[in-house]
Amino acid sequence: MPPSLGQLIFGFFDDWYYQKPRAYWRAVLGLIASVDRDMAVAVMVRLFFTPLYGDYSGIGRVVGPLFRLLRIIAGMFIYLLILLVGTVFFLIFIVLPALAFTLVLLSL
Amino acid sequence: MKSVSTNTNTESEGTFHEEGGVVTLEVQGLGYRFLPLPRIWSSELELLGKIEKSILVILLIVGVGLIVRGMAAARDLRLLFFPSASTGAAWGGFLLVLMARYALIRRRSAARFLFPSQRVITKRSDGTVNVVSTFSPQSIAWLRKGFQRAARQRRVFHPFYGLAAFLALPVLRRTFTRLEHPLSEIETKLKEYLDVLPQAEAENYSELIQRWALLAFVMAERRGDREVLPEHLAMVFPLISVECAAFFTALDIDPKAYGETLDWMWRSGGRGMTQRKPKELHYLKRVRMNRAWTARPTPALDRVSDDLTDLARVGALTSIVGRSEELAAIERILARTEKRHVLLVGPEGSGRTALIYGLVYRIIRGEALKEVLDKRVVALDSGALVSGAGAQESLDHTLTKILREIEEAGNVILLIPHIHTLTALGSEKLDASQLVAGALSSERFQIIGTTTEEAFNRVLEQRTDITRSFEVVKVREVSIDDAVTIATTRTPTIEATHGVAFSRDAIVKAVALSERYIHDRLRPEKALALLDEAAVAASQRGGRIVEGKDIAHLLSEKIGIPLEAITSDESAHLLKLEEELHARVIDQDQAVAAIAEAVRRSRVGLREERRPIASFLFMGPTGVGKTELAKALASVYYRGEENIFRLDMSEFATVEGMYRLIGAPRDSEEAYAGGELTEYVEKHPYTLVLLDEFEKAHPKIFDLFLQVFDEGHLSDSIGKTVDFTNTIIIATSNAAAELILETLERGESLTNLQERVNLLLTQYFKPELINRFDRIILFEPLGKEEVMAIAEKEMAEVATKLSSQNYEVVFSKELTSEVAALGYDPKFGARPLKRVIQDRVEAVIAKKILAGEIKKHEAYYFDVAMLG
Repeated sequence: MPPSLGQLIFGFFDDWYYQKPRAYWRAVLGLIASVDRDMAVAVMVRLFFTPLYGDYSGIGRVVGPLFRLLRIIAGMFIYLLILLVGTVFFLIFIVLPALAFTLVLLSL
Repeated sequence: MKSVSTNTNTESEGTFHEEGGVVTLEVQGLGYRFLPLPRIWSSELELLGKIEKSILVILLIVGVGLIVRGMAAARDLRLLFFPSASTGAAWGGFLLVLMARYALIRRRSAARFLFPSQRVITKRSDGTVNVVSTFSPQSIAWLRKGFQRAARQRRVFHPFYGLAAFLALPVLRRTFTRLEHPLSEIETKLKEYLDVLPQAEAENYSELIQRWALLAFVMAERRGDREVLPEHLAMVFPLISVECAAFFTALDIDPKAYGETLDWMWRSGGRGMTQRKPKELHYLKRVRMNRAWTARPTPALDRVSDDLTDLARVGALTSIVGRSEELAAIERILARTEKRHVLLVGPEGSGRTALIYGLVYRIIRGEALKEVLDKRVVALDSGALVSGAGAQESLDHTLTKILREIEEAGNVILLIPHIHTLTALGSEKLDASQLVAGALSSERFQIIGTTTEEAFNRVLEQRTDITRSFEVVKVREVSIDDAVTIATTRTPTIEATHGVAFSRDAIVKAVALSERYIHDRLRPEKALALLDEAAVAASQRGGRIVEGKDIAHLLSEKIGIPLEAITSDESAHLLKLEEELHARVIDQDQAVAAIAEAVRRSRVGLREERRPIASFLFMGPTGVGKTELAKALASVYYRGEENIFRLDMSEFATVEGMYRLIGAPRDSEEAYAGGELTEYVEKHPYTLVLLDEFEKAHPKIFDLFLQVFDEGHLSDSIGKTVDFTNTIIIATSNAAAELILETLERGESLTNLQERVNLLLTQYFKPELINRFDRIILFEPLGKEEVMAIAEKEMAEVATKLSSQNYEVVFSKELTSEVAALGYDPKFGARPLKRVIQDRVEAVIAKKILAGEIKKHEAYYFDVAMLG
């Protein structure tokens, strides 16, 4: 037996406002994780005070965190950019059906 | 107790119970049933579904139309955000498209809402579990197709109807193709079975259907799949009943092979594990393993090495199949705190490099032990090292610098392929191996070396400064089963390159036949080489499928051994082998029969495979046809007399003779030139070896042949093993000639002579050698009738030779008789006959031709008078 109209409408909203956003944000976070495999921000944070290239001299201990900080800042900037773009598209996605309904009703 | 066996070869002790037409499968105390709702089989449901789909597609089209109309009417798209008729139309159409699309997508899994496919299975009130909810909509749909066909034909719904429906499944079509059975053949056979099913109203779930479904459920459980898919149903089909299994055996398909091939096609998706095309290598990022910036760069090392971890990351390395135990052993050694260097010892082609690649893939996937994770595996290139260095001194300097870099980097595992060659690099005072030995003992970084057993014994065993730091891991050739699996995973690349597909039989045969007949390489490489060549051949002749017979044919051509199935022509030829041999050899029935029997046994596969095809000792006076019979066999069966390898053993009466056969001693300069016998048989494995005057050979040579007769192979002077299992060995001897002649002169028969001959033979050969001949055949001296027959044959050959040059001659019977009389000597057999024909017939004719007395295209009659 095919689903009823009510089942269909309910299912549509469930899919559009619950299932799809879940999958979407999973994908966005997955993208950030994938970029982090190159940017290595999490690794930079974890090894913040570890000198670069095994240089355990005084200068090495000072310069290391500085360079790591720069890399953390650069990485965070990229992640925030990804989140921002992702949020914009998400908002458009969320608003679209509601906007459509509203405009149809107003046009009647 | 009935066992439920699955394709994974694990058996679950499940018991089928049947009561009142309902089948229950009891597994580990829980009962399972397959009881779908009646409407599963309903054709009305299907019709309803089709109508629904059509309506949704129409709505989708209407929606798109409204959007286009609205946008066209709006003139300016910004106006679509303000209420108006066009806005309403466009956005209304948009909503319609969204809803229709959603409904169509949901429809594909609509049955889920009727029969949700979940892993949580609820027990019924009677304590059993109805597994129908675990069946995917596709499985239900395919079963329904089968039911509908049975209903239309008013026959009982037997699993054969289900199989008929499943034949449309792409995976099943691919399976039968790989099993070398065209689908049309399967369909024809199936129709035969369906036509004899009893007439009845189709039952929704007969006992067999229920058994089928339950077996498929168990299969899905075994594989850890969430749903029961059509592939599970197809896979367990032979297990339903004896009748279902017999369907496959009637088609000459092994049910086990069917299951394995279906599994292969299912796993591979028909494409197999095609290797990902590696990205451009200059895009390699060398710092991926050092993204934490803690390790130091290694510029000197990078110049003379390949970073395998980088290469693996871009898919440029072959992935490994199996070998988990060796991999685990290597990782454990590398993860130790002491003696953490690994030396992989194994023959070339045994998979040492494959193991390294396997380790590298584990590292990049993060599956390796933590002591090994985040390390670079870098393979040293000795050639680049030497060419990069100038004079000898700078080679040491370069290597020292590289080793120091690796130490300081802290994240490098150094791979040194063919580590034994390091002893040849560097100066006499300090070779490269000594520098590496220092690094080995310091244990500041891990080293993996590879070498062969021969090189290890020859070079490294004495170098305790190197070997004491290594843990040796022996790398053996993969097993035959693993070779088939590896071949299955590597063939997709070959298939994609040449545009062909291998049948399962082709892969299995390639492994089996290469194992049997190719001894200079290891598996699976020798099988893959054969498959590659067969693919090229198939591609050139426009074929698409490479079958087992193609592999047999290719190998047969390469090694000169008939490997294909026996054709009817060859059968006829084999059955009248005696006749064909007698066309060249007069009399000697016992010998001819013995040889023909041996050849027939060999060709149908009924012989001991670890020994030569046959070995005979022909005994008798000279000139009675011993050598002639061997030549006749070579001509009739070995495709020409050139495939006979003849040795006059009187030339091998000394120890030096033995070295001529198997090659000079190992420490001599000519050792690697090989021996006459071993070199010939290695190159021509399917050959007839004729050893004339065998009793005259040196006794050490008899010991060599003991090895041949016993084990079917012979080791030459440098230890290379040559396979003799495809040879026929015929030794001839005149040792018993006098005994035979005396016996016959006394009027006794040769039948009772065997024992005395054997006793006589012990004067020449050891008893164990005598026993190893398959047959000792006594040749009788030729009588006058036999010599006459030989004379007729020889004279006829002379006439044929002349006829080929357009000289027609006819010899009278009296002439032939006279020639026979002149050429007969009981002691020398038919040998004088040939001399008489040469001197008294051929010589005379030659003179007449030259004198112009015999002209072409004119017939001449010769009588006794020509003998003068």
